[in-house]
Amino acid sequence: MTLAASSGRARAAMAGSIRIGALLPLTGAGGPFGPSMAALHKQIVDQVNAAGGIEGQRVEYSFEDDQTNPDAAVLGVRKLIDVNKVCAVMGLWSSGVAAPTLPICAENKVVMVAIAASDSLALQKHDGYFFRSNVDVGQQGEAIGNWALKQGGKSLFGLLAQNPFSEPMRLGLVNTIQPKGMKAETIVYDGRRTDFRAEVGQALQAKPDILFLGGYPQDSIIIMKEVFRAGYGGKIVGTGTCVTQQFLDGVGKQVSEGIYTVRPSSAVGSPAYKNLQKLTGKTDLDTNVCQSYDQINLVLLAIAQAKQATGTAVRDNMRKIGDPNGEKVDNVLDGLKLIAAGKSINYEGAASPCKFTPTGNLVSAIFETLRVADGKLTPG
Amino acid sequence: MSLLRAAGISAGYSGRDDILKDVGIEVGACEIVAILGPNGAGKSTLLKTIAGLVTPRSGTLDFDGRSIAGLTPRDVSRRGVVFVPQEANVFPSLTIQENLEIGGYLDRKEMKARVAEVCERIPVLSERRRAKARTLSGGERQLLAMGMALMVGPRILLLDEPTAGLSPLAAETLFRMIKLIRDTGVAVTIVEQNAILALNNADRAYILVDGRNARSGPARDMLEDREIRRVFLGDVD
Amino acid sequence: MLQVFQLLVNGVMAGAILAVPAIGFNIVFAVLQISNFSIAALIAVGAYAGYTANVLLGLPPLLAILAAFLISGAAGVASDRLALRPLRGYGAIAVAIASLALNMVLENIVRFIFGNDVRSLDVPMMRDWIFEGIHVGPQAVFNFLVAIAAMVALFSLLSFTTVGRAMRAVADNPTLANIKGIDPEKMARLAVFLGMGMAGIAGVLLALDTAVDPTIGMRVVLSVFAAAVLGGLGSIPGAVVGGLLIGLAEQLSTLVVPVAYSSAIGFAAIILALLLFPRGILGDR
Ligand SMILES: Nc1ncnc2c1ncn2[C@@H]1O[C@H](COP(=O)(O)OP(=O)(O)O)[C@@H](O)[C@H]1O
Ligand SMILES: [Mg+2]
Repeated sequence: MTLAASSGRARAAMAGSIRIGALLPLTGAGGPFGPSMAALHKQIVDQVNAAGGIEGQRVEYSFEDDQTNPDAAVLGVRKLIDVNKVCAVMGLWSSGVAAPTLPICAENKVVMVAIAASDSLALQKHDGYFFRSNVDVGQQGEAIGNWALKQGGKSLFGLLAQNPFSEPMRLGLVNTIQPKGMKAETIVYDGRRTDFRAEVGQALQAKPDILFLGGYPQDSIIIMKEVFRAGYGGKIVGTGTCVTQQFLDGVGKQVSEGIYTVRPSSAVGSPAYKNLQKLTGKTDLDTNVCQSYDQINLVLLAIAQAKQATGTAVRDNMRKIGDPNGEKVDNVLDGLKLIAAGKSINYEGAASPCKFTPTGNLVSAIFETLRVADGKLTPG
Repeated sequence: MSLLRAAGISAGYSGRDDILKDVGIEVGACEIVAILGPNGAGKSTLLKTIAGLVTPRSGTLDFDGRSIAGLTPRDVSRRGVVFVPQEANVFPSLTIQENLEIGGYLDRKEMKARVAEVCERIPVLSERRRAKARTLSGGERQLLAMGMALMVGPRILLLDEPTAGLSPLAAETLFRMIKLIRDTGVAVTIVEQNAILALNNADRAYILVDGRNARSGPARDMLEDREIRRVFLGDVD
Repeated sequence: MLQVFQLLVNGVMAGAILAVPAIGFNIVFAVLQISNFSIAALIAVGAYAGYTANVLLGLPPLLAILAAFLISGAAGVASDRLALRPLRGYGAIAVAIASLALNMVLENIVRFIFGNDVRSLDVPMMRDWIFEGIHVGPQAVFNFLVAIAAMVALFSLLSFTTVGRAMRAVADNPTLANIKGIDPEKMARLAVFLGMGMAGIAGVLLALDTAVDPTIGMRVVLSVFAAAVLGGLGSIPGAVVGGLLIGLAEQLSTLVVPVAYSSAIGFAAIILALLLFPRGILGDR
């Protein structure tokens, strides 16, 4: 009886249309990224609908502008859930927008697939409705730790700007290198000042083999100049947030020479990445676009796999479409055909392999190591 | 022909009723004129009005035949009408030397010689030229204020209670100095609490009561007028 | 011990730089009896004026500093005339609040013209000199000397020139100064020019040492206020003493407090100063 009722509802869900949505920034700090993400989502939905939809049902896509602003985001997600009746919300570029909307999604049994990098999101209570297409900060710490271990020094000193990311970054880093016998010291500083002599003094007093910069470009430029003046001779590595072109221009060629960065990278060269290059007609793909591609493919394939367009169904099938023994898939149309044919699939994305931990983080991410030469980042 | 002539002056502070009501005074060249009257009568307000710190609401205010009504305080000073306020009449954080130099700000030629001249006239000042004015006693402060006024070669001095805080002996000395200044061709208008002392030294006097002219006349006559002594000067003998 | 010496050296160098805008704040306060909080933006204006002179026009640092002095001073006078002077009749608090708004407007004008990117001045990066284990940066020494020179110049102007005396006279008693022939309004303008010019100099010094971005003034302004309040609002020697004390306190505090909290030193100093010496160490008001 219960089974019949639930499968009846399932059929009803598929019988109506398949409704999915996205919360994207069109204004505010994320403003430059939102429009291309929405455009890509729509492009894929159109492709799927043109190919006959999923199980014969049309996909309806709606999106709201979160203005990179928590208040607007809350209003937007309510509209997506209450009015548009979506079963999954994608996008969520900033942590400030994801944090207040995640409980609303979880409560309404709607899946969230986010870009936002704050570790605390995965740790929030979300009953499994949270997935992150992005690398979380702890993993970035681990990646830098692994790089440091490869360099083979005895000690590392980290200078981290105080922000919501500094603690998970620090933990990821320290927990990676300390068990392997490398000494790790860190200080967390207030990045809104101009004078970091004391911080740099403390760091260099420890005579570390590797100095790690975990701030924003503004403060890291000042710190790096101070490090240079003090005559530090060891290796320097910074996060991707820190070692940007702005940072390189700010410190100048003389000071930036030889600095490393270990940063998340899209799955450049993977079939999905190539497919996306063709789709967008661009060779250089921004991580936000790669993740948007993965987000919508994952959601659509999970719905097809479940034969049911509810949040709970998407949640429960998100990992099934990444079956290591399944047939490798890099685009939604192929995936839908295979699922319809009753085959098991393994979606590997343009940004990452798209395998998720129980809390919704990526199991493994792709990192690239770059080295500064003559004021430019070069593969190192 | 008088040097300073105020007629029909009404004046007050912003947003308030008139303090001075139809007041008139005249001061001749080389004349010492005392302004007397009870506390709150408007004596200080009258001097401030002449000095340009309070703008008259009606009446005429002429100095040397030209109107000075509505001029800024510094322009009034520039004409040679030099006001020494009752309080806050020196710059406490400046040295005595600097105070004197500021006193001569409008005419900065031969500053050194003029400072020396004033110091000669008022010896206490020369002893403490490097001291800050805030370290001076009340009496010394009044002398410094006088000294500053003398730095510009005034044509008329407006002195508001310059003997306040002075010993009787010092007050006598100050009046002797005022007479000497007058003898160099400077007119003096002086507001004074000690009416007997003032009348003994002044040529003429005005009595203000409640912002109006009450009496006026030659100082000697007023000293001898029993009624004036009783009613206005609080004399009980 | 070596570390303490190093922090003392750093503290004196940083304190001298802080003292420059603190003097600027205090000279404006002394002459106008107004807290002009737009000094933060005028530090940024100075930093960008220095950047323009040094990087875009290729002038040497000393000329960039002079340009910053003139441009911040002029911007200070113009913005005071437009935004603050009309409000003086409403009291010092109204003007202080308006100056906070003015600060945002000026900072955003800087943002509009130059953008948000961090930029660096065109000066060679030099390694520190090391004396007996104490690091001293050539750039920091240059900045220290410029700060001292700027302070000595301002101090001499105030002490030994007629206009300096006149300005101090207005600070003491504007009415009496007016009677003595000084135009208080003109002196107020000059005080704002000099004060904000000092802020501009500090902007370039900070830029030379660190980097330029529109928030450069906001990053230091708390320490600057702390120096001004601690030394005594309106006191020029007080601002110097206050600057040095705050500079030293911020550095030495790192021995006992985690560095993430060293910005709190400014707050702590303001609170302590208000409790222990409400008029500041050298204040007389
Ligand atoms: N700055 C001022 N603002 C408002 N009222 C004032 C001011 N100065 C004086 N008064 C008022 O004007 C009146 C006359 O004061 P004042 O001229 O000082 O009298 P006097 O010098 O004869 O004692 C008094 O009632 C006094 O309260
Ligand atoms: Mg009086």
